[in-house]
Amino acid sequence: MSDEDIMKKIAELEPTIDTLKKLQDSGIIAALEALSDQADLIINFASNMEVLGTMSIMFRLMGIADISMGKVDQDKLIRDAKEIDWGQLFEMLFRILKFVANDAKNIPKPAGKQKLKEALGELRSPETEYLIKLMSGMSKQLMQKDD
Amino acid sequence: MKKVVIVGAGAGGGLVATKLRNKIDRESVEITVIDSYGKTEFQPSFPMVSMGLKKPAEIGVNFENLSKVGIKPMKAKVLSVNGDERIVKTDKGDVAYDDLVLSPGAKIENDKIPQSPNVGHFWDMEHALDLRKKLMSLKEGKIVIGVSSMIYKCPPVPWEMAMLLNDMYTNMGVRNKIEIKVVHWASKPMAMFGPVISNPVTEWLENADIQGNYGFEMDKIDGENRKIISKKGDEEKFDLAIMAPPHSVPDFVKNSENLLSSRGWLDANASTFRPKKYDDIYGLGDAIAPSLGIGMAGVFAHFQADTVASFVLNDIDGIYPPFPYNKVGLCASDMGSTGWISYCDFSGKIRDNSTPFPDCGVLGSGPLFKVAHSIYEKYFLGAIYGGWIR
Repeated sequence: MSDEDIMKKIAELEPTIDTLKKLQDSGIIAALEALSDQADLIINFASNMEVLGTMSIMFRLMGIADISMGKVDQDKLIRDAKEIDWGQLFEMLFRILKFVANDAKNIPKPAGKQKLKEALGELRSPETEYLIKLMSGMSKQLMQKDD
Repeated sequence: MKKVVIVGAGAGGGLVATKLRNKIDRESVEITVIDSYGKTEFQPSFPMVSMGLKKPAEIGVNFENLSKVGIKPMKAKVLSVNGDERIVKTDKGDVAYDDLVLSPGAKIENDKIPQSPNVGHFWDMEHALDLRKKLMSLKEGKIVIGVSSMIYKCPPVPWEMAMLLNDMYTNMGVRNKIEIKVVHWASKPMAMFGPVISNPVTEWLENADIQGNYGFEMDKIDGENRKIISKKGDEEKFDLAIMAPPHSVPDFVKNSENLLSSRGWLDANASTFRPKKYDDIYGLGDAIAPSLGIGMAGVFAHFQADTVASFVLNDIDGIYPPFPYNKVGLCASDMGSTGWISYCDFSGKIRDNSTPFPDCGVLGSGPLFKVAHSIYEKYFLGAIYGGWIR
């Protein structure tokens, strides 16, 4: 290869060299170098029955997910998902998490059978009423037939 | 300057050489690789070569390229090893060593199967190329794929080849005129790997209308009358037989009592890979596989190379920690229209050879998995020769 050919080749590669320089300056090249230095160990350590077994299960689940997602009306899924008040849902979720983390431990374990009057009191509480209405609404949707 | 001598430029020797070169500077240790063939080839791709799916140059690298990565290549045939005086005798002269790594592979006994237009194999490059002509000229008849010894390189390959042939002849539009049959000593397809592997493979073979004659231990092959005869006297007729020749231990090992295991192969234990008598000699790859009680496959040599290299490095600098041997083997098969990756843990089999089969699983199968075979091919060659694989 002549000097002229080499210069021509370098000129062709100039955009690639610029990108490589950016990758070098960003530290990505150094990270890739560390990965390639350790490539044989990574492959050796990753080749164990636990990792391979997990990967095997993931591939199988991908097949199931593929089949089930194929039956989903994706437009309807996205449309309905957009209607959900995610802010309120997450706020509720955080409250439940906070309760589990801080207050759940303070609920005393039942020492004996609950008295009828107390049980009725809990059943008639606004919280239980909300849960019953929530479950009732969901079961109505489950029973509803498509027109 | 210390001298490390490595016999064999294949999966075991080639990888040990490069791993050592990457860890130690060229001024303090000289690494020499002795190889009689002079090439590193990705042998799992031999079936593809025999079908014209891959070219020899794609799957092999001239081992002279080792000099570009700081390793001295020496094309020579090893005649003997004098472990007491640390000398390897070759047909090109004696070579002294401080550490010796033996990865000579198995000897393919081509003279034990008939040289016939009706018989061929793909267990080396020369015969893979010869088989290509035989396969292309066959437009109808019966192909029998089998093995002539219990031990042979790449145990799953007869069935892989059958699937590849099914695909090739289907694409050529002549599959209905060609019968494909596997004759094998195993009780069913890939029975040596247990039901997790055997059952799906049996189903694939049935779906591809690939026949089988199992429990068939070959006694002799009659190329002229086109029949294989089993040890029980059963016969299997063929128009073309693809038959693995017997595999045996290389002569220089056979003639060195101190290097032989009780099973008649290169001695090495599964922790240090040293033979009983020497602590500066290491064995790995196909030549030790029967001694360990595992099959012959490059994937075993790959992880053995990690461990052997660590021991050699420790011999040299005294501070490198030995790397434990990973006894898991992965197999990336290209089966024509599809591919699959299976894996097996051979720990139990190595510990107790009466264990019927290793602990295996299937990572997955499908057309995308075909790519794994080609990726591993390039990774394997690149790991030895760096960028000098073209």
